[in-house]
Amino acid sequence: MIEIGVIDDDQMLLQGMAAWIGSTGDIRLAATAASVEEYLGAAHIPKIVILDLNLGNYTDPVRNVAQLVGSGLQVIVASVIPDRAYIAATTEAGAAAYVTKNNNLDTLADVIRAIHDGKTPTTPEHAFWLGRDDRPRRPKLSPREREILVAVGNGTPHKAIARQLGITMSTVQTHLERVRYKYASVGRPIDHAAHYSERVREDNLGRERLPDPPNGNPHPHQ
Amino acid sequence: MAAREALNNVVKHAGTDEAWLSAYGDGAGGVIVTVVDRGHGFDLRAKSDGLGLMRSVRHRVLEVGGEVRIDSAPGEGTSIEMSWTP
Repeated sequence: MIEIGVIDDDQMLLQGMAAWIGSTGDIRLAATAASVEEYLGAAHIPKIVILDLNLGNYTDPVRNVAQLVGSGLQVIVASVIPDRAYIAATTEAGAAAYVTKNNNLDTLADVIRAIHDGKTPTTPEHAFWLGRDDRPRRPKLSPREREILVAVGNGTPHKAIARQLGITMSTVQTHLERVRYKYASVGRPIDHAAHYSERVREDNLGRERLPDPPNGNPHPHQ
Repeated sequence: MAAREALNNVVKHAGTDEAWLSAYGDGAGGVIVTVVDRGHGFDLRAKSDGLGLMRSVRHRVLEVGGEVRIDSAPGEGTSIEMSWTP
């Protein structure tokens, strides 16, 4: 039996998830919490945890992931709205997988089982957003790695990708693992608040550059 | 619309109720739309299998000056990429 926990402040989602997980037979929902602190403070802490990317308490997703990973847990990041910059940044912070909340539950079960087996599965939705990571300091991927990310991100099965590129399925897997390794080893540990705000500045997380004013002069502060 | 036709095809022929629809810009004003399913797939070389799909989707895309790439193999689903550049 694989034990998992869920950190989410949506009670309806938690209840629905508890009912569904109960039906898998091999996965058990053993802990729920509304915040990372609450989860880590519990008496029993399952090693695999699904974390809502945007908790209602406005805690920072990257710090949440870093905190859980730092406590030796394997984190599956889940979100309703895909936020490209945060998906990439939480991957760098060591998240084991990213799923959307509207993923079918069989996909989530497969992700949980893969993580339990020590793998770092890359879902199509995860690949889609990593393949479109345009942050200035993103990990440098090879053209082949990007090509495979885009194909997985379009939903193409690994088997079809292998055939199209004339490589084996295990090579497809190796490329994906290498991508994940590059993200995980970006080498920008975020261990305290000041460090984090530095990273936010670097990545310009969540902020788009304003368009230039009509007279063509760039903004004075950029 | 071509993407709808491609999705119809998934419903009718792929034997699955799930498909991935992606749409994005190519950075140069063009658009790429892909419809991918993990259903039966078909043999691209066997004319009868994919002909209807090719005709219905391709017609709609070519009409507006776009391109279509179809990839499939038995047991590996079907992937249709439609692209249009200005």
